[in-house]
Amino acid sequence: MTSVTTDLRRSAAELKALVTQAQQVCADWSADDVAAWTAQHFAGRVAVACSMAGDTVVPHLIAAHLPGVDVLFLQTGYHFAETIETRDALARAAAVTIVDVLPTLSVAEQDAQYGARLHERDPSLCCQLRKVDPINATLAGYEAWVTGVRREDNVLRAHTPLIEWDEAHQLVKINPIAAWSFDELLDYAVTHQVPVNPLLTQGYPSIGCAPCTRAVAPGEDPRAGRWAGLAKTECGLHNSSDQTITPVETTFVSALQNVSLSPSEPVVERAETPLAEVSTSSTSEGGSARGRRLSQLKELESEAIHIIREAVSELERPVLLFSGGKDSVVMLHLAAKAFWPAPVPFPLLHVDTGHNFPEVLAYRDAEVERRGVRLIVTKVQDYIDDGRLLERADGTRNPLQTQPLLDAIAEGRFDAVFGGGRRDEEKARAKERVVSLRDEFGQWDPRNQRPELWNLYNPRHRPGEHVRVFPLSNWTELDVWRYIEAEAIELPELYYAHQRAVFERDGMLLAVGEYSQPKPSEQIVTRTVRYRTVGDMSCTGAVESDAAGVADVLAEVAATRITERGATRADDRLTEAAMEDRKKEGYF
Amino acid sequence: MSATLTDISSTDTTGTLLRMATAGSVDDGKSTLVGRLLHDSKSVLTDQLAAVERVSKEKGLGIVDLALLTDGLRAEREQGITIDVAYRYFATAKRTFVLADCPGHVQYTRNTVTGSSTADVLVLLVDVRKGVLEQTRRHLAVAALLRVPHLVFAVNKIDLVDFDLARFDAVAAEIAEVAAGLGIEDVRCVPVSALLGDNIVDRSERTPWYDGPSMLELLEALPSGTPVEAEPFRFPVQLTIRPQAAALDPQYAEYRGYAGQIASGVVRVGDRVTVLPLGRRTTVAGIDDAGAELSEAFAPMSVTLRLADEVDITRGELIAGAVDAPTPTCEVDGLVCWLSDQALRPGSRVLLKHTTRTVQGIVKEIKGRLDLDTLGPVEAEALTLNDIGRVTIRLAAPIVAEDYGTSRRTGAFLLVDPQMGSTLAAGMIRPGPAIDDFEAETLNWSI
Repeated sequence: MTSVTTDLRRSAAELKALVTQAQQVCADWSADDVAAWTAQHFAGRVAVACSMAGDTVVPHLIAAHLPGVDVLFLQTGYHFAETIETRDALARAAAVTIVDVLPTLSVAEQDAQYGARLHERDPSLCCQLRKVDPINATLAGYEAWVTGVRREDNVLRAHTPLIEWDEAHQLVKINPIAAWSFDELLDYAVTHQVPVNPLLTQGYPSIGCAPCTRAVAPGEDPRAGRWAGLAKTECGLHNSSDQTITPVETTFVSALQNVSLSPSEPVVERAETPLAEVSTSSTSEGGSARGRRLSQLKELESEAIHIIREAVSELERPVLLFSGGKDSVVMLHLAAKAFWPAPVPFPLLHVDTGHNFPEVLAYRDAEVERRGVRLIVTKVQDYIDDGRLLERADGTRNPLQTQPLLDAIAEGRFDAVFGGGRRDEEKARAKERVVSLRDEFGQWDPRNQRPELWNLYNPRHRPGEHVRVFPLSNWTELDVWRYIEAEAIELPELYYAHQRAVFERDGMLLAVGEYSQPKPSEQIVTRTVRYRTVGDMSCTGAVESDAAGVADVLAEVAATRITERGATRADDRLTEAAMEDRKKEGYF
Repeated sequence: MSATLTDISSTDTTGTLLRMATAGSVDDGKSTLVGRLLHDSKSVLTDQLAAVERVSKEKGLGIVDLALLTDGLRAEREQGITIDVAYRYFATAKRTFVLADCPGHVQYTRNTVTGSSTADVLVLLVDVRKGVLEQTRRHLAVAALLRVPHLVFAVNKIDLVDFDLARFDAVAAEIAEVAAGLGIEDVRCVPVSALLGDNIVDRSERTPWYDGPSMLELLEALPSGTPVEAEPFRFPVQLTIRPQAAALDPQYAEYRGYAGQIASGVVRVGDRVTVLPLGRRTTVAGIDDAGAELSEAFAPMSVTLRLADEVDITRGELIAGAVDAPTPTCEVDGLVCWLSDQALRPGSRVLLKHTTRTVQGIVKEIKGRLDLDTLGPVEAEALTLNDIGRVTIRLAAPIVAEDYGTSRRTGAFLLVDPQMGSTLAAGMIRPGPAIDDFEAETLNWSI
């Protein structure tokens, strides 16, 4: 904010007097007259607020009289790319000092504190945090601010004066283009080569943050696209009343339809769309549409389905590891989609540790029934009973799963084993291939992996070898949860908050059950918890959580600052190289 | 040499996935850069960071060694080098990133090929004190061969030359020269200190002479790939879906659809298409996305197409737009990055995997290889590990070969060992000059 003087701010009374004086004579001033007056009285003490939408002409107007004037731009973190580009273009085109006004919290921090996508749940609070509070804090250093408010914006703004006293901010508020029509605004922009947000001519007469702005149809209120579907039309920057607004008839939109300021890409629908929607041009009729882009979730889904179909096509006997855990549930959902309307063409395999959460087993059986697939169960307990495996001193059974798994693979002569493993889970997994060769001992050799090129997977193997296939390789935990939400996938209930008797061990909350009993020194307490992974009950910890539904979990996951395995799997914590060791042995 | 965000065509990238690869030479700070990107974009979780802080302390390091965030395997920890491609995931408010972190050691160039094959952008590390090394040229040549759409150079350790513009300019000029020699136009250079974070997420105040975007700003704005509308429609068939009596619902007993992932372009219901290699014509009757009927679909969507006529199509055939259908061929002329310890010689028998089709092939001729020092072609009787060469392969059955220069998905192939099943080479179909023309040829054969 280079141009703010260090002089003491004039008193409210002095400033009000200036306003009263001006109001007596300014009624028919041109915008340029208002700018000249601003320069005369507020040099170094004024800021122009600019949304980089249709109001870029205002900084230009003022800069003609006050070169280098501060232009405040709210960096909400949610802007359209075009808005940011407009900001950069304005910085080059006009003699202004652009001041990026930042919210106290980054988007990630806000997500952590208030949950992801606050704008969907409480848009007013979101505006307050990202717009109103930051601008108020910034404006406090000035005596006057200039806005791009125009009387034709909406009925609340129909009587906006050119110069007024802003009681809320205790500032002089200057609205030089209050009397302008949209055509006058465009004329000025074209004549003076002022960059204007290209979205304006693409069905977005009013532009705010991307998630809360949509295009409007011809004839609709220009601000109808703001906070669409919500009883909200103002962010609170320009008024604080709760008055509702009735749509006004203007020529605004129809004027926009016929105007093209610059050649640019057509608008892409950016509202938060359900997964099934792909982003295509909102103006797409027939073959003229451009700007088709797949949302990242849909791209991940397409990639996973492609991988599943490749493995099924190229291999003889695939099987899907299915535990009832969320990643395996998502895998089954994707497999069902990949072969619709045919049934899933391979069986499921569950390596049963014997230390299961009962609700997960119930879920597993119901899901198998619903999908009409075959389930093969191999039991660690059988191995312990006949002495092929010994119970570990610590009682955990996850490390004992490897042998039953490899035996089941050999017995079923399975040559492709689908797993829900993701590369973001753990450092050793980051180097895993999508299609990963295992020798006849089930071993993974990280130094001898096949290069994986393009989307050309090579699952060829020799007799006795098999491949592990990880279609979710490129997904993150957040992606999995977002997909569960988008596709309304049902999960075992223990993924959501519930009351449970637990005890604390090594910083983890373990459930009290047949296989996990507290030591005398460990106290049993009832807590509201949920599970982030489901495995051997004796070594899978719960986290305290109130997240009762998928949206709550999503918010929680977005805010979580600890990896899911690090938080809740005792077996990965044994040594730093724990996962790598188990993978080499043939564990998933 | 400065890049600005507005150089990039203004298509929206919000909510999309960007696949990036990073490569560099030993000790140029690549792991630190990746660690810094993860850390500064707040993608490092508390327990991961705590582990790194603890290990840094144990090693007696004065600062937290962010490189430790990405050194995954034990062998790497012991040797202190990265030996295999590792995939990292991070997201900003704008978009999601899949990062293929490729190793810096000279003998593992195959991993750079791997990382580059799927990348929308390759970020190359250069130590500002060392400039362009042989390894840098090799990576650049690989990126050019694999036609990675965007190249970004992180000119690293700028703090060690006191943020000196002249040193940066010298390296940037060198990069521009090498890139121009390879016919690469779109190269951006960003002066960074991965160790200290300058110009990684935020623009640094210590490089006032640089007015371009930070690394992350640049990556957030890069378009991912070419617009699908500009591409021809190509749909390699993965499998036929014919449930018959097993249908989930009896109404689908007669269903017959062709499942696949659109390799390029857009398809709409009613489009005329050609089924290759036989060339039968038909019309798209329906586009199914697991029960949802679509009116159009585009790359890279996985869908199932229904066709108007009863054509019998199997895996490995290609459905293409009728107006611009390519011509099948039984001989491919292309470039290969040789990734195997055993040498490739004329007469070698290979399997060639192209889209969803795998056919037998015999190497007819090795036309030469690329000398990475001179970046020029030289004669070769065989190709050995890490060689990039030009070969002609005769095929037992036709494939629908397209020039990799224009079609990444339908121009790429793998060579596979018929006995061992291992992947021998990354191949790119690039019709080019015969060996006789080598003298006259400059470098355009390589990209």
